[in-house]
This record gives sequence, structure tokens and C-alpha cells, in this order.
Amino acid sequence: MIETATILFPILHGLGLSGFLTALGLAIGQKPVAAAYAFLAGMGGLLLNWGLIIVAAQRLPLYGMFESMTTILLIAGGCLFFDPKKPAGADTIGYGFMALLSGCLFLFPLGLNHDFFLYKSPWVQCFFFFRLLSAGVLFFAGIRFTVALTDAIAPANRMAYAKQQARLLLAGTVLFLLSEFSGSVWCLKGWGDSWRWSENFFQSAAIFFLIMLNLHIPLHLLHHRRARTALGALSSFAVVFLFLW
Amino acid sequence: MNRIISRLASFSLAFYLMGALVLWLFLGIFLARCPATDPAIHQMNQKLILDWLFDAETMDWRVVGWFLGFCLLNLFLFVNLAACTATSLWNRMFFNNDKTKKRLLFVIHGLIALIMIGHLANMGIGYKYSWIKMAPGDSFALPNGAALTVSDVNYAVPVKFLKMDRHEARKQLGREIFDIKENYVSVRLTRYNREIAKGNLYMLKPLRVGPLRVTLNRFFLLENKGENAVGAILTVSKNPIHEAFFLIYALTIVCLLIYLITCKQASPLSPQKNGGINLNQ
Repeated sequence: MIETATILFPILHGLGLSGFLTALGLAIGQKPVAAAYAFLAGMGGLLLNWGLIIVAAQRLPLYGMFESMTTILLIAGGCLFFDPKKPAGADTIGYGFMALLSGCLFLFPLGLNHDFFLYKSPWVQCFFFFRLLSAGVLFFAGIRFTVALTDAIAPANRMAYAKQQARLLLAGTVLFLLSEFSGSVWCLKGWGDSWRWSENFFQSAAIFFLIMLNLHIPLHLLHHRRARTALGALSSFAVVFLFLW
Repeated sequence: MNRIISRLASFSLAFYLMGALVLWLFLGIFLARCPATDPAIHQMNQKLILDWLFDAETMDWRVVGWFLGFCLLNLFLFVNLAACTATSLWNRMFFNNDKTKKRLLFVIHGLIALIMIGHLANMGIGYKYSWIKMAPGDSFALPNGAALTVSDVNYAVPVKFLKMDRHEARKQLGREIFDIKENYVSVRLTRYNREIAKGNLYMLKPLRVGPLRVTLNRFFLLENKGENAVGAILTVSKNPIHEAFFLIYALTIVCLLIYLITCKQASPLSPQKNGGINLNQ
């Protein structure tokens, strides 16, 4: 089963990437309906890969670059497709970022992560599960911040849009904290302490403060829309990068 | 005085402190990755941080400097958080609009302040002895006349995994090969030679006796005691505040979740309601 899956993974991921690239081209060519169908086809490729990982590895796709990125892309893509308050131009930028991240995955081996006995622990599973959920939501937030940078939002709607962004960041924070909570319990059970002085913990704390930066923007910066949205986009993508690092 | 307090409670201070903390943490990542400072960072986990700080043997000025800077930034952030919660967020609770949201915001910030205090307490309360390498029959002396003795080590998988590179072993020790229930360490805890507890330690399943926690970190190969003799690396820690810390942590997440739901239900704010800030620019 694993051998067959290993052959199918690059094919299905290629299907996903082709779908996103086609969607991007169609969206640029002002054909939104056809673009949406192409995007759905791309998502279908990723979804098949996601299911295949579950069947082949007998666990959720949570570990290693290939599994993590597939999960993040599915969550962000789902958010993008079902976003009811999507402004004009969001699709084009969204498809572009989805294609970019999918394309980057070809730089890594497209195979299952090795199995590890600790993956049996529910705390370990929750840590990775909520981490990827948070990364997906924050990647979507990054896409929306980029949309706001392009003047696609009418001035009358900017305040409502900024509030939606704040809610999205807050949702990402809640998911991230759920992951960190599970990670702290894992750490306590495995190392006898809830915190360790190590690279991974410094990285998690940096991620928390990076998200919090956007929720504590001072008044004088709040008036600079571009600076505010650029910070939002940069920190959201930086967080996703740190998650995958 | 009021001016100083309002400055200490300001959004700007919080923003810049968080920015500085992000940079400082990246410096910490660099130190943890740098071969020259990595062992010193690793030493920070061996004992209680307060004991580490006053231990001249493990002192590395770069890591100590980084740690003190980290503490200082967190102290400023705590002062900012406390001042903001006690002044601005407290006063806002009595405004007529969005009372639930404002109360929640006050509670969330208060809980985060408690989490920071919890982290501080974790640095100095109780004790911690990490990375204790023990063979069957070995004892380790603990404070107040207590002692930990390893009675037996049951390692049910081939010892070849202990001989190979740790990362390589990790790749091969899958769920099918390593059964957590079959690989354990039997220990006894005594106080003045009187047994107070005994039990088995499993991976991710420590032995708890009140606030005392004995954790199995990993197994290792005993070099001078036969070809297949296996020992265990343990951590003994005593911390009475862990449960309270996790309770506050969970409560903070629940409050944030409720806050998120109330935000979703609230109608879009007018610039007046938003403190006069016009985000439409």
C-alpha cells in the first residue's frame, strides 16, 4: 500500500498544483467561474493525497513537510473557497499563493514521514493537529492581508475588513494556544517540566508574539493602512514559515 | 505620576516590547543552534533555572546575558500588562457598550498576567534534577532524606536501537516496534529508608507522588555491564504549581474562544465606538 501511495503522491500533488495554476490563469483572464472549478480540481488532488496518507500510514497527516503542507493547503484553500466575505481580487491572490506553496513542496520529498511510537499519544497528536489548523488559518489571513494591500477593498469597507482580519488572527491564536497547551502537557509528561529552554520553545514563543503584534498595533501605526496590512501579511506568512521550519 | 502610569500602560510600549521579544527569541534560536552555545542552552534544562543561574560551572556569559535580557524584556511586558489591565481595561469595563467583551478582555489579560507569574514561579519553586543516568540497583539522593532507586529496567526491543544514531533510531522506532506498555522502568521512592512509593515509569507516563514527578526520558546502553545491559535516563522534579498553571492556561483559551464568539456576533463598530480611530484610511 505504502509503495503504491508513494507513486501516487507526486501525481496527485501535481494535479493540485496544475489546478491552482490553471485557476490563477483563468482568474487573471477574468473567468471567475471556470477558475473556481479549476481550483476545486486542485483541491480535489490535495484531498485525495490527504486521504491516501491516512489509509497508507493509518494516522492523520500531521508530520513532516509533505503531510504538514498538504494539511495547511487544504485548510487555507477551504477557507478561501468558503469565505463569504471575500473581496474582489481575493481569489486571484489566493490562487497565486496556493500555487506558490504547492510548487515549493516539490523541493521536498513527497513521501510519508517516518512512523514514531510517540505519535500514539493523544497530546502529541493534538499538538500537531492544532498547530497545522492554526497555520492554515494564518496562511489564509496572510492572503487576505495581501488583498488589503492592493487597494481591492473599497474605503467604505476597510474598517469591517480590518475587524474580520483581527477575528481571523484571534482564531489562529486560539488554535495555536490549543496546540501549545497540548505541547506543554506533552513536555511535562516526557521531560518533567512544562517548558524547556530549546530552539522549538523559543520558536513557539516568537510565533505567539508575532501574532500578538498585530493585535496590539499602536494608534500612530493604526492610521497607516499599508504599514498595518504589510505587517499583518509579513507576520502571518512568517508564522507559517516558522511552523514548517 | 498619572503620566508615567499611562505611558507604562500604553499600546505602543506593548507593541515595541513584543517586537523586541520576537527579535530576542530569534537570537535565542541562533544561540541554541550555534555549536559553541548549544551545550550551555541545554544545561538550562538540567536543573531549576535559579540553581542554573548561580552555578559557576555551567556559566556561559553569552547565554546568561541572553537569559537576563529575556527576563528584563518580560518584566517590562508584565509591568505594561499589569498597568494596562489595572487602568485602561478596568475603566473600559464600566462603559455601557459591549460590556461582555470588555469584561472578557479584562479577564483574559489578567489570566495572561497569571500565566507569566506561573512561568516565573516555575523558575524557582521546588526542585528539578534532569538527565540522571541510572542502572538497575542505582540510587539517587533527593532533598529531605528522600531517595530514588531503580529496581529494574525492562527494554523489550532489540538493543541495536540504542547503539545506532539517535535520529536514525527515531526513524525506525515506529508504533509497531516500540510498545510503550512493554518498555518501562520500575522505581522505588524512599524517605529515611522507608518506602513511600513504588511503581513503573513509561514513556509519557511519569510516576507522581503529590507534587513530585519522576519521568522517564529515554533508555541508554550500559557500557561496562554486559553487552545487552540497559539503563534509564530520568528526571525528578517537584513543582506544586503545575496543576494551577495548566488550569489558568486552559481558562485563558476558553475565555479567548468566548471572546472570539462575541466578536463574531457583534455588529461592525463605528469610528466613534472604536475610540475615534478611523481604520478606513
